[in-house]
Amino acid sequence: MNQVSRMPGIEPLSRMAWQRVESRVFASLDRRERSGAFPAFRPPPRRSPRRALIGALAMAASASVLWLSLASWPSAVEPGASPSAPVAAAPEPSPPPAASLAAHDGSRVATTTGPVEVAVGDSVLTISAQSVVQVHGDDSSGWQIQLHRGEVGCHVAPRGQRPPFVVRAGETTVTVVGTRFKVARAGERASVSVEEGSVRVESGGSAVLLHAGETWPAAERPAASPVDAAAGSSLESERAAPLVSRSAQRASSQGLFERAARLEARDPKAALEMYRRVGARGPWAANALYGRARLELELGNTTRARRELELYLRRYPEGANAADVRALLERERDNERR
Amino acid sequence: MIPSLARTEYVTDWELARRAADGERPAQEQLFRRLKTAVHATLYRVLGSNRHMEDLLQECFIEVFRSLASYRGEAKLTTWADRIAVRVAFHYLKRQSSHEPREAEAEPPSLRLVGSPEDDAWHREGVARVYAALGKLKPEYRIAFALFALDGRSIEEVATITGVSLVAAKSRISRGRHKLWAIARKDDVLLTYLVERVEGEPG
Repeated sequence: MNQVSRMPGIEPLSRMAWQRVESRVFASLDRRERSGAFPAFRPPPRRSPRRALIGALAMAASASVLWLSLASWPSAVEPGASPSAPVAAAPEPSPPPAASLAAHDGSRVATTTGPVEVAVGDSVLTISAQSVVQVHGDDSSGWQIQLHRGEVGCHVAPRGQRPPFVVRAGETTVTVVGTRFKVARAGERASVSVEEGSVRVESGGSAVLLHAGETWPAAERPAASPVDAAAGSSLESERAAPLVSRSAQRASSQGLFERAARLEARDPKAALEMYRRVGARGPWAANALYGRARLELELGNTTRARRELELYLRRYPEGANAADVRALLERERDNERR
Repeated sequence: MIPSLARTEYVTDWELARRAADGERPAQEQLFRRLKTAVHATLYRVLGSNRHMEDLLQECFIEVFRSLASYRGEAKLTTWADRIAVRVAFHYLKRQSSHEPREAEAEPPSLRLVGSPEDDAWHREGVARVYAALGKLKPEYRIAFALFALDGRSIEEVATITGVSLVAAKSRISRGRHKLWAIARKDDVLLTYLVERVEGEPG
């Protein structure tokens, strides 16, 4: 197929015209903000009081337990390293939380009794207690995080065109573009769980793409005990584990919603199905119903879209998107009258 | 020292979107300035010189601010805004075709081109005829064709921006192109203009 060559440039809009547009847009913005018509940016997930309490205690404990070394990495990791302790507090949702320390190429971080947050470029690592992590690289050549022991939570800012952010735990490699996830290591065994976005996990010659809410390996195991680590669990059992995550089937409604939103352009039918799977209950149901109705409208399925828009108003008359739903319905009614 | 998020353009996009969505007016103004050229260019390529351009730009930006909560930083902000601009253009074309079928939407372009006055006049006439012919196409074909053939986007970009599969994008571009050439065969001026600027007719 051919493209028209030497098309003339874009006819510029006058400065006056731009000023008119700008002032009208911001006047409208002011009105909408006053009425609360804009949905919030990435609503935070609910956090249980128990989890918050554990988080506070863990963070308080972390103040005295960090050892940060900028010296070069020793030739070998301690063979009898104790296994990871579970992460007590997950990092807050985006943006990456403020970290108390910044790591550079060659930094080695070892924690003892509590987790600690460390900035790596514009990303943040939450390193659990009893963990050892070394940081290599920089923002222009890409970051490589080596997890020698324990568990690390990663909150990675979108990488865009920059080299990827990679976490290695033994033979397992996790490559990420921009997301939140955790990698745990006990002896030679590693596990990955994704909270937001998606990551590629490579291990034993196989690779799998994990999305929000999914974990790897698929079969969930209890946290490894010191006895397991001392016994030196072999990597063979890890390789035998199936790489297709069973927990994908019970991905969180937020994860489903976000995946549906991403799929809209590429596969709208799958996106619609995913919005349906979010269900009619839970904190993401209203967003999913609105997303479904809007997508049906874009696909030209006006009858179905109208039904869902009306359903939205019946269920959520004061919902975050209620004003938009009313406007869309009004427009559709206008179109019908004409 | 904790590094700032604003190290690269990409991260800045995401951070800017977050701040704008959180209601920070300076961020909203910066976002408007950053996107205005791209949004205007996309609308212009799809719709041509249009007397409703200001209203359409306003509609686009209100939609941009309304939808910021859904921006995840997975694409450039301009690409994301292009999708909104194309959606606004699509609804506009739909409205035009159903409500005002005889209304001439396009205005003669007033742009100045580098070249002799004759060349300029010839370009203006040619462009006006291209957009008049595009006005006879279905909105989805027109948008896909304009993005590909007039704006120089790849088929992948057209698919992303219009929210359809690669196959569908290719099909829409092809249908738009065939229809345009069918119209051009009845319009000598348009035909000459297209022949000058397109490498061969579709088969």
